[in-house]
Amino acid sequence: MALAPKSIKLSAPKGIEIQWNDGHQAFYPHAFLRTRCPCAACRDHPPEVKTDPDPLPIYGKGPIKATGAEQIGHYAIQFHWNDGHSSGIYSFAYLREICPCDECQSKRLG
Amino acid sequence: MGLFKKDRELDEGAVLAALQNVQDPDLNQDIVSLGFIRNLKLAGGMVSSTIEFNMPLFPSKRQVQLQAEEAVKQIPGVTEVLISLASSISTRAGSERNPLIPTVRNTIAVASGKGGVGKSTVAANLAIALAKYGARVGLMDADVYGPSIPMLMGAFDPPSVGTAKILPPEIRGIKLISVGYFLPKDEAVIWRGPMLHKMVQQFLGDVDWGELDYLVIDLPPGTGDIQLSLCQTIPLTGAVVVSTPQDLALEVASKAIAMFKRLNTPILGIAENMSYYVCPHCGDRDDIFGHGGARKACEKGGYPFLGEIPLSTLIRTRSDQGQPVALEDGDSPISRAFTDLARAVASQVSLNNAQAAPLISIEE
Repeated sequence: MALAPKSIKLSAPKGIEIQWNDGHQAFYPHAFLRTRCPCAACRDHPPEVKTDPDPLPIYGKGPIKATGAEQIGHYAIQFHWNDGHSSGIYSFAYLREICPCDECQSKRLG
Repeated sequence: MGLFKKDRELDEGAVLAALQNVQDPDLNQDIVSLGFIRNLKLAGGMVSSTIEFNMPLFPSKRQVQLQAEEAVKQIPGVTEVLISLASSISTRAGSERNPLIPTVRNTIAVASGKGGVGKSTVAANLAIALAKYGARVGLMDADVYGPSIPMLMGAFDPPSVGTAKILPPEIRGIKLISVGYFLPKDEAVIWRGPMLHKMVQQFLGDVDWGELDYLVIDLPPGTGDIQLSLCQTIPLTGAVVVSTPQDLALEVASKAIAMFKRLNTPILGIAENMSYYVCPHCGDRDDIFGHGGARKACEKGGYPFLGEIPLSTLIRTRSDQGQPVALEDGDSPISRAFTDLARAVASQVSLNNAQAAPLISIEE
């Protein structure tokens, strides 16, 4: 079976939890995923994101956060961010490739 | 007493054990393990049951009925057997329906790399063959550049507008939509990507498809905007790739297969169209484009081979008349070729549905 997430939890504190169908559990901080948006515009000019609470919250939207997500066909996820951006289509393969956990990191280095 | 009782009263276990010897020839598994046995009733020596298949009732299913009756009759004490057939087309295991088309159980894209291999002809006849054996079928013509479904199906009445959605014309029980209905004759669609994307979304979401077992989608050739939009907008059940036996066509078909693989869309298999030609004068067979190329490609790539459709004047004339050849009774060999194709496609859909992963659960 092709590698795909089983469930995606957007409400996890400070990030997104993905349970993969091969049993791997991944955690992606919001800012980590937002800055790695694969859309053409973000690839050319990586976005600057706020990770800390706004000192004057009345003027901003607070720290970056995914507000929604949609499954794209059989192969990808599209996230909606609270900065208004939503054009990035994160393929399953890409999401797995950038998994920030120690295990995946060391696999990539080794 | 115990013996006497055993003689007179049948037990359910014995009937199920007998039925376990009956195979579904399309799914290659016995009908008990497949969970097809419904309403099993025993009364005295009488056994009645329904076999509920998860695909249309093709002629092969009548064989199953006969075999099941025969198997149950062999059980000592059985005096009468009544087995009826039913069909409830499966959808993806354990998944919620797609929000855009919640009433559609399966979506089958008919694709090819190369143009002119007979995608639309295959799509129309596939839809007819599925409907002929009891399925509820829709046919979406996503070939914006050469919308041929209205002519092929002989359906020229345009869709009407309902209260909220487009009401598709229905011909021979098949609901149709095509960009051909929205264009004056002799006009062409000259659109860029975003327009095409919107059209795909509207054809899926804004058309009142009603309850459908299969939505057959006729794609334009190639691996462009329409194909990508379709694969993004809905998780397709799978794709049927049409090719002629010619190396040139198979070479291009492999590009379409590569695209579906990249997008994790299941390949239901490859169908070989224009597979051979039988001369109506001398009866000699000529393999105009070669023969067996699609089968070989399937073996090499590990895809199911869905069947061969011959090159035939009858297919051409009936297509031009808007009376696709699959409408004919099962006795004509060409009509049978399409029935076999539909059976192979429906089998692959059933097999895929049984093992497909459910949609991803997204918790907000």
